[in-house]
Amino acid sequence: MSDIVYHTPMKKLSDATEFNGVIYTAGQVAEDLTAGMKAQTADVLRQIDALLAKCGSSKSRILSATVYVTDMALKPQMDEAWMAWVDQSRPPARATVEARLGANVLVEIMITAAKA
Amino acid sequence: MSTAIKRLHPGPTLCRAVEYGNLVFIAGTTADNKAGNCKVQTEEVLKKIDGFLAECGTNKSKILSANVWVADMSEKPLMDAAWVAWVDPNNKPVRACVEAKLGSAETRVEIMVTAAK
Repeated sequence: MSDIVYHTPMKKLSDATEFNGVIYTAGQVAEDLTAGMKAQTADVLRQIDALLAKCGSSKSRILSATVYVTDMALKPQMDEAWMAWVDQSRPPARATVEARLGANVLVEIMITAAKA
Repeated sequence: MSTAIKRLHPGPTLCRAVEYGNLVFIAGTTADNKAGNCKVQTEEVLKKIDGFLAECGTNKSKILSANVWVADMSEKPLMDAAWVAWVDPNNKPVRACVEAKLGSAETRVEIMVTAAK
């Protein structure tokens, strides 16, 4: 039986968990919430890169992504940042839906990835 | 031979829980008592999740990931109060919480978890 690894436990949740060679990351939002959709997405994806690196993985090992946007009309801006970032030869499964998020948050992304 | 998939409480549209190897997937769970506020409903939901996890031979200290949907983001602090009182302080899963339209107007919260056995 493999043990569960918890990364950076906070008050309510951990940043990432690992079990059985699979990494789960918490919903990430931008640090700069004054930015527009494209910049917020790029900010979130940078944080996901750092989280995955901490867990010994990388964006080329992502299995699945759930993207929440506050306004479907802004999805093309999210996609622009996503396309510039995603490993084009290894794109994960992804779903994008509209949902209301925290104050000034335009995008939130949750990832499941394989360890390297 | 492939690993068996075990389905608990199968209904016409879904199962309450699915076990595969040492992973457990719990269906989106809502409160039966819709009269309660978001905190009361979250407490009931978490109690139900405790029950499903126990049936699968695991518990809240082995949750890997949680998705929380609230009917109104302004009620998130109520959900969080129940969550913090419940979550294993030494084994906190990852989580995302967003606002979404749920099954009925009275439903204030729905939670789905993935856990290890």
